[in-house]
Amino acid sequence: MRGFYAGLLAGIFGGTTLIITLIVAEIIRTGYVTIVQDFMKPDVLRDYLIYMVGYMAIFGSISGIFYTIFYNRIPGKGVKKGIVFGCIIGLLSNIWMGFRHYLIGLFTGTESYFISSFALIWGFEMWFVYGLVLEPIYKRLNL
Amino acid sequence: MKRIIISGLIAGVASAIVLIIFQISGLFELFSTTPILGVENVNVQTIAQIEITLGIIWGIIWSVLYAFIYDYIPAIGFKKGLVYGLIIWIISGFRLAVIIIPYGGYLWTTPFAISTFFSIAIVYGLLIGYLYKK
Repeated sequence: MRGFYAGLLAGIFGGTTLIITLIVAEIIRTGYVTIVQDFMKPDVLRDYLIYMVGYMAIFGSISGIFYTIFYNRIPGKGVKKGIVFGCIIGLLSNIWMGFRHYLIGLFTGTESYFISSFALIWGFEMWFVYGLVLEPIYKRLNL
Repeated sequence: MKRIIISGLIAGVASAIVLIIFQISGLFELFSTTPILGVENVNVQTIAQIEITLGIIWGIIWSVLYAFIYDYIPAIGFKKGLVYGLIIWIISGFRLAVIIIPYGGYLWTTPFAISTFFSIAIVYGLLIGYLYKK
């Protein structure tokens, strides 16, 4: 249960960080960010925030259970352990997702590239932050 | 190392074939009007190219990770592979199916989750469990 609660909190943190990053990126408004923002269909950012935080809370807690199961096998110590785990989850989910859409875009000539870049950059960043806070929370929880 | 790569390759290609069957047989369209790739009118060759490429690359990546965490997977024998397949499906296939919802892809979510479940959790997991043993 320790991993579940640590993952839940880390997931909420990761999801919120993603939204903050998107807001900052929107303020900076480079050409690339404009493309990403055009792709984001939800009109209100608040709705997207609620969805992403809820989504990350669910998947963060599920990943937290996996973190407990494979804890001794994950290389590194302290914060590094959490970061390695976050990066593995990012690789299996976001890199897989981004690569899939990249190939679809490559073979069919469609706009899947946008989903690909979004999944690769922003999604991976979210899991990195998740991993960064996971181990300290996991250590502090005394369940 | 060679054994891990070959096992991953076989299991990856097999799971890709399952996804191709889901697409060309019309099973995917049974639940959704949106095609699995999210693109209309894609021929069989293109579908096969995409899925087989993905199956080969990710089949090997998943199998290397499987060998790495092998002793810690909570099951015995080939069931280890099934548990691992389920974990990979939750992290990859199911997660992608759910993340698409706020972008308007809710009709696509259920069939994608079902087809990747059969492809990754069942076929990939079962094959990697049988092919790779320490």
